[in-house]
Amino acid sequence: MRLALAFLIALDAGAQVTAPLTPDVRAWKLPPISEFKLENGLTVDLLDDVRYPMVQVRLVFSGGSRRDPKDRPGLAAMVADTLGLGTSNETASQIQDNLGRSGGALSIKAAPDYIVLEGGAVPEGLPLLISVMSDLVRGAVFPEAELGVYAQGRRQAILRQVSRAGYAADQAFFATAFDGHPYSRMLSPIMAPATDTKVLIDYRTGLLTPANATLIAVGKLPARAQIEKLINDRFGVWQGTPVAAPEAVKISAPARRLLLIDRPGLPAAHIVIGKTGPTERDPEYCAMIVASMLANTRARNQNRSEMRIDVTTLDEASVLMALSQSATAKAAGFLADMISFLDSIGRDAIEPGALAEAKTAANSAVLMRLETQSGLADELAALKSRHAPLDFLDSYTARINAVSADQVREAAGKYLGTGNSIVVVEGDAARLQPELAKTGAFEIIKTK
Amino acid sequence: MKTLAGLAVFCGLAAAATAPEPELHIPFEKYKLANGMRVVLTRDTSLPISAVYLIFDAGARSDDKDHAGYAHLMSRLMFEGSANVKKGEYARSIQANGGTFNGGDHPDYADFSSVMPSNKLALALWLEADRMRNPEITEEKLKAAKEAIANERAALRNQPYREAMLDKWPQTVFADIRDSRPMLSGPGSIEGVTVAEAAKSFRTDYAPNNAVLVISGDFTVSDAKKLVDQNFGTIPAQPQPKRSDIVEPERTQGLHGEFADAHARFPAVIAGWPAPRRHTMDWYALQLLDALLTLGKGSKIEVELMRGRQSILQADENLGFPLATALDYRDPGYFAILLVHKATFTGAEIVRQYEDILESIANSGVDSVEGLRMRSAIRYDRALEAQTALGRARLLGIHEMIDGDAGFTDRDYAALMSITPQQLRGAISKYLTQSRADVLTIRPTAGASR
Repeated sequence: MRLALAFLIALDAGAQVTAPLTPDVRAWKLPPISEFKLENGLTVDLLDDVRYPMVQVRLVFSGGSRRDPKDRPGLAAMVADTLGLGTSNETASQIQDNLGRSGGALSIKAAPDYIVLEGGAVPEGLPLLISVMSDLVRGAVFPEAELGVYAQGRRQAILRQVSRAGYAADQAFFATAFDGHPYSRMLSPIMAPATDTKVLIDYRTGLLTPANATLIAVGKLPARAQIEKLINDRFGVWQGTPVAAPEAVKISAPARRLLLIDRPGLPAAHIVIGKTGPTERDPEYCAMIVASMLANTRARNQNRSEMRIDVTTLDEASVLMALSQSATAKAAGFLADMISFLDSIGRDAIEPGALAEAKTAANSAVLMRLETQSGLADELAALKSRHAPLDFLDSYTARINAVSADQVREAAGKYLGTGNSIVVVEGDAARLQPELAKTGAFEIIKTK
Repeated sequence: MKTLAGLAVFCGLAAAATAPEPELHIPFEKYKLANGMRVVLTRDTSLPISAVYLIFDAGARSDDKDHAGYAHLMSRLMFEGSANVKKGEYARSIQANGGTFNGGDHPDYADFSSVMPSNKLALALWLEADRMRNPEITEEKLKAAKEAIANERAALRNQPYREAMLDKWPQTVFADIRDSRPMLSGPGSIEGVTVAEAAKSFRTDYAPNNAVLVISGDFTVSDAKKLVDQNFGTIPAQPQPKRSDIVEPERTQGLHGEFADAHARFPAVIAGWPAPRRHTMDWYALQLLDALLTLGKGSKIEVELMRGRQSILQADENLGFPLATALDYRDPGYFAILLVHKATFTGAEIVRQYEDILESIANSGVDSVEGLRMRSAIRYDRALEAQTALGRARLLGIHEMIDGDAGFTDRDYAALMSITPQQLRGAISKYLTQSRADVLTIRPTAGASR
């Protein structure tokens, strides 16, 4: 009956009726990276890409929220947000005008492992862009008047952030997975209390120093002698004391915890299941990445489209999180299904076609980021902050392609299997708890 | 004196730019299949990524008065499954390989794209060819597509300024039904479309002779040609759809309207002018003006109205506003800007502030700093677009479809950079005059903020 209603256009017998078979992703290499150090300790990495008339510059500092003092969570984020508000030489408005003349833009952000100044410009704008960066890290003054305006906006942003459904679950997950480690505060929304100009200037002079920094320039760069001179001229006079390595804190082994974040009246339940995993320097890393890709595809294929598996890679660990949401009334069944699904990845056989797709997807995730100059510069900056070797990217595809089905299953069992995972449910506890109790004893956490 | 010095520098920059810009050259090879399908290949083997971009001469402005909404309906049906690829399988196949895809209709074309690691190029081409050759159009799928469109329209209607831009504005300023048709609340002529009618329309709109295929990125030319031939070569040609030119009457006076927006928190105005024809020097000059006014840090509107007079909160400007850009909008063109402003100013005051800027540029030109900023912003913006396989494919495909020659990709950019200050001033004086300005005043009716 359905065929009678259908209208198939121009069907011809010559057309291929099944998807074509394809090979693995081919090997590739980035252009060579040239690295040198200035006398003040600033590391410089240069990568020529002459295809397009632009340059991308990253000035990355090791640290980030990982170094936030316990009593001042959010300090690195605040430094990043306010570094561009003015220097001893330029107002914020003048800085913006200078950037406009360079043809590009500059943004500053803080991540758990680093603070980075990210700038782009047309090639002729490179000196101007580098000058602005140098001026900011050497002379940002964090003017009090501007800080007041910033703080007001920040408070609004924090309120929006914490009121987002699912945020409390993410926050509780990180706090539990990294209990006792500075990463546990990475989603803390609390603005550093009593932060004033002096605190921010002390942060700049103490941590944003040349010996703690790497300058990465990618794109249509000037001749080598010229750019070395340019960097020396702008950054050679930058002084700073060496920065001590952050205090080493051991990350606890994954252990089962069941947490229920009470948000009375929330109509849906937000679910996070996950644990910590290997770093890029660990041999299991590639198998874990392929396993996560495989899990995402299986979830889609099995109509679990609400669920996704995210991997966050940090310097000292990675984090695997299965995220989903469900109507409150169905949450317990949904959670049981998620657990069963995650446990099955490490147990069930992997079809060769599915493995090949997962490897292609694992490669694609990196390739898509590297396709743009800004993506490439961002990736190099992140790798630097995570102490990964510079040739990490060049060998990435070969390592992904070499992963076997057994290794993927083993990694899936270890990192997706839920036996020692943290399970966080955010929602209306009064309605959720009776049913969730069948999964185990959930600790209830009240929210403000 | 400052202005004269500025003009001199700007002239110098322009003169230097009249030669082709080798730094932004996008090489390509073009050929045609026996069924009339045009194929454009552009290689960059730096990374194993390739993009497939398929563009059809089947945009919303192709819909005649009896077929409003067909273009959108047809583009939705492309995602409803085909003979060998079940509904959802297209998306699944691409996502499982870490790829991305997109597709839909625009005022002057419909386009579909995917980006995947280049080992999957054969898969990407097969997926596109299968739905082009054998779309499975059923009562059930047609109904689903119509419902999805109705929901989409309802959702858009609930967003601030959307109804003003997509319904009221075209009705206020255009005469030809293909321009003036309200997009969200127009007559629902697709509601009664049958499977046979949809299939008939699909057959010609999505025929190979009405399409351009672009492959961009990592491939060998011989392999790509072989795959194109295998997948698309046997799709039969169809009678070419008839497209008559859109004609808007010459006007010497602007048109005005008002709109009460229940979803807007701040008042806004849309100001616009009929624009010069594509590829004329005035057309390039208005693109340059757009960059001067809105592109990048330190743009005129940011400096003078947002930071200076602190009257404007948001500005959105384009040749082809609101759904197209200079790149992808056929003649007759239109230049317009949406200015969302503080309630402490009237719409008339905001239009006056904007026209003051235009008048200042028309009278005095731009200084050297502004000239440099404008040129740098355009170059940077273009480089950002051209650096991805899909970005290059879009540029080539749209020029091939709309202008009949992918070579306009390089030529347009060179012409844009060759515009002199005199040409910029001349275009403003000729086209963007106060008397010809069309204005739609948008008044928030709920929760207005100051």
